[in-house]
Amino acid sequence: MSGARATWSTGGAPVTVEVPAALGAALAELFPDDRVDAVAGEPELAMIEAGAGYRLVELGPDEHTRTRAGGTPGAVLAALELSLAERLALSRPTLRTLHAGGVVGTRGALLLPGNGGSGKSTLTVALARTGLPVLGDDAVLLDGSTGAVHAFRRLLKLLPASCSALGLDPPDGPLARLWPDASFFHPRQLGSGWAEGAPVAAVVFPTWDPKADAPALRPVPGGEAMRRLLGQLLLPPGSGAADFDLLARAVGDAPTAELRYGNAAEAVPVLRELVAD
Amino acid sequence: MSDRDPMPPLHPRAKADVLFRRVGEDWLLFDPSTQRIHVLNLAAALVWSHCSGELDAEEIRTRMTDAYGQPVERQAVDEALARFHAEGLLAP
Repeated sequence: MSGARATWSTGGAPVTVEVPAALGAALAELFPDDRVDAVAGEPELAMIEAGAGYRLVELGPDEHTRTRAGGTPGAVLAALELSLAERLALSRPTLRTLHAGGVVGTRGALLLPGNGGSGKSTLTVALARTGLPVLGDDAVLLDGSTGAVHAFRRLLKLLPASCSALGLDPPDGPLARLWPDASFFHPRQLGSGWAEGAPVAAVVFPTWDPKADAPALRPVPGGEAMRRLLGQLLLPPGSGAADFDLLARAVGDAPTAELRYGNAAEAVPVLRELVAD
Repeated sequence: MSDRDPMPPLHPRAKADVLFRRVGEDWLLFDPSTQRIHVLNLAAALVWSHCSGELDAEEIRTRMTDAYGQPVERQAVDEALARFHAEGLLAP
């Protein structure tokens, strides 16, 4: 196997990835703030060329490898994001990765959990443009020992329709050329930055619906909110009881609601009011 | 057909691995054996908090009356215990 090695360290856990030279710059662009120069040990993950595309493999002991994904650079980079999130979370038993966007206001973190297409990224980017620091647009890290939410510092990723709706010009760069069906933004480019760890102040489950009326929050009872949140816990696979306990402690008394919206700009003040003075 | 006794134990005791947490306004039980979340009203939550295995239903009612500062119907206690029992949340 050959290629450049790069090491990331989010949440204090180094993860070393070997990447072909053609993907190195794109990967560095995707996680610009967690890269550390010193290479720590042997790679745990490798992206290797395979025909016209790439494969992402996990490197275990005794040359054991397991393919995690294969296909276009975008598909393999998406799998790598998940693998990095998994390994960073595995580094601490109390850490879990939640499928959610999130920003932090003066009163704490606003989490936006949801499936693909629910509007997590669009709303996160729209909120970042109002200056709120960002936890992530697709994954955030929950620390059960403190109840705090930490940023997963991967560039924010928007589909062309969301870029257009928000009036954003996609930036150019190695990543944009390699992954043409998505646009990537650093929070700095949106007038914001990465958030420090913060306790949960509100949880809103978004649903994007182009036919929706003016956005309004509808409370989601705690039991239903916990069911939905458990369904959005990505990795690592923990025991159900430990996951429930972690989420219950993290959410606590924070309001939980759902928001159906068609226009992100109209949804922003509704969401900001939950966490920002 | 379950072979569980149709009546709750005389001195109901919560299964040790069932988690009891408050989220928002809801009191919740999480049963790891079924991965199910059970939502309780306040009265049921108070009943659950007294399922130590040391009190019978009448004693639980008395404790709840003291906690509430007003009479608690025995029926509310019995219904909560029956539900806990039916859902397998109590120790045998």
